[in-house]
Amino acid sequence: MYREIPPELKDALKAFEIGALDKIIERKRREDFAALRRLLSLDTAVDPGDRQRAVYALGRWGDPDVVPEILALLPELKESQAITAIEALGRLGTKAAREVVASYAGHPSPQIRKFVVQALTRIGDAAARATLRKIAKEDRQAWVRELASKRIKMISAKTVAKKVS
Amino acid sequence: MVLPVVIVVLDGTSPDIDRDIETANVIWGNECEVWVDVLETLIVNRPDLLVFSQDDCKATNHSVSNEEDELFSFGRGLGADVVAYYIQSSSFGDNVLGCAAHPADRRGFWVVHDTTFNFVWAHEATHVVGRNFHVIDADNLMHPYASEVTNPPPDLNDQQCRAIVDDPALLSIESIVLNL
Repeated sequence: MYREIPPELKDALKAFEIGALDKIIERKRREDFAALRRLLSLDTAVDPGDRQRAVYALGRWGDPDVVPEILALLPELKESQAITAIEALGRLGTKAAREVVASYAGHPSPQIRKFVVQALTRIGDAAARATLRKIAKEDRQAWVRELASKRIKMISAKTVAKKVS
Repeated sequence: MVLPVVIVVLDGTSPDIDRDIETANVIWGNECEVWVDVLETLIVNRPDLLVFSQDDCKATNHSVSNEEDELFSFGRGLGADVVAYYIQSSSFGDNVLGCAAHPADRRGFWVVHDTTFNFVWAHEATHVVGRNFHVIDADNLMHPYASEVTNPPPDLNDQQCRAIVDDPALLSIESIVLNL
C-alpha cells in the first residue's frame, strides 16, 4: 500500500501541518488521486491518520466519484474522523452525500451536528435547506440552532445576490 | 527585541501556555535575542469554533473560511499585531497540530491545545513573524515533521533570525522603556 504512494504525498501525510497536502491537491496529479483513493481502504495497513487526510484531500479535490467510498467509510469512523468525512461530503455535494449527511442531524455529538450544518450549507439545495430549517428549530443545543439560522440567512442572501446579478 | 502577542483560548480547551511561551523564549531568545511578551490572554466562549474548519492552510492563494474570519477577529485592537489561538482540533485531521494561514489583514496562527510537542507554538509563530518557510534540517524549528526533530530545543539559523528581527511586529526594548 505505502510503497505505491508518490514520495511527495508520503511526505505531506507525515507533516504536522496540512499545507503540503494542500499543494498536492492544487497540483491535481492523477497518481496522487489514485494513491489518496487507495488510502480510503479500511485495511489495517492504512494508518487512520493517513486515511483521515485522504478524506480531507479528496473532499477538496472535487471529484464526486469517491462519494460512495467515503459513505461506506463513515459509519466506521470515530468522531473526529467522521467530522472530516462529513465536511468532505459537503464539498462533493451529490444527492447521496446530502442524504447521508442529513441523517447525521440527530447525532449525539454537537460537533458532528455543527459539521452537518456546514456541509448542508455548502450543498444548499432545497432538501439541504429544509434540513437546516429543522435543525434551526429543533436542535437540542442553542449554539447549533443559532449556527443553522445564521447559515440559512447566508444561503438566502447568496440566492438574492445571484438573482440580482 | 520583543514580540508582543495576544493569546485567545477557546473555552473548553486547556493549553499549557507557560510551556509554549517558555519554549518560544528559549528558542527565539537563545538564537535571535527576541522574546515573546504576552500582553493579554482572552478566554472566548465559542463552542462552534472548538473543532475548527478552515478551507486550506496555504501560504499563498489562501481562502478564508467563515470560521477563520470569525476566530481571527478575536484579540484585535489590544496592542499586538500577532494573535495566537488555542483550539481543540480541526477538520484537517487528528495529526494536524497548527496552521499559520490567516486573513490578510489579521496576522496570527492557531495551535491545538493538547499537543505533546512543546515547539509547535514557536514553529507557527515563526511562520507568521518573518514569513519563514520549512527547512530540511531536522535540528531546525522549521522542520515540517514534528516527530523527526532532533536535539530539542530546535534551532533557528541566521537567515531565519534576520527575518524575525526585521518583522514590523517586533518592538525594541528601548522603545518600550521610553514609552513607560
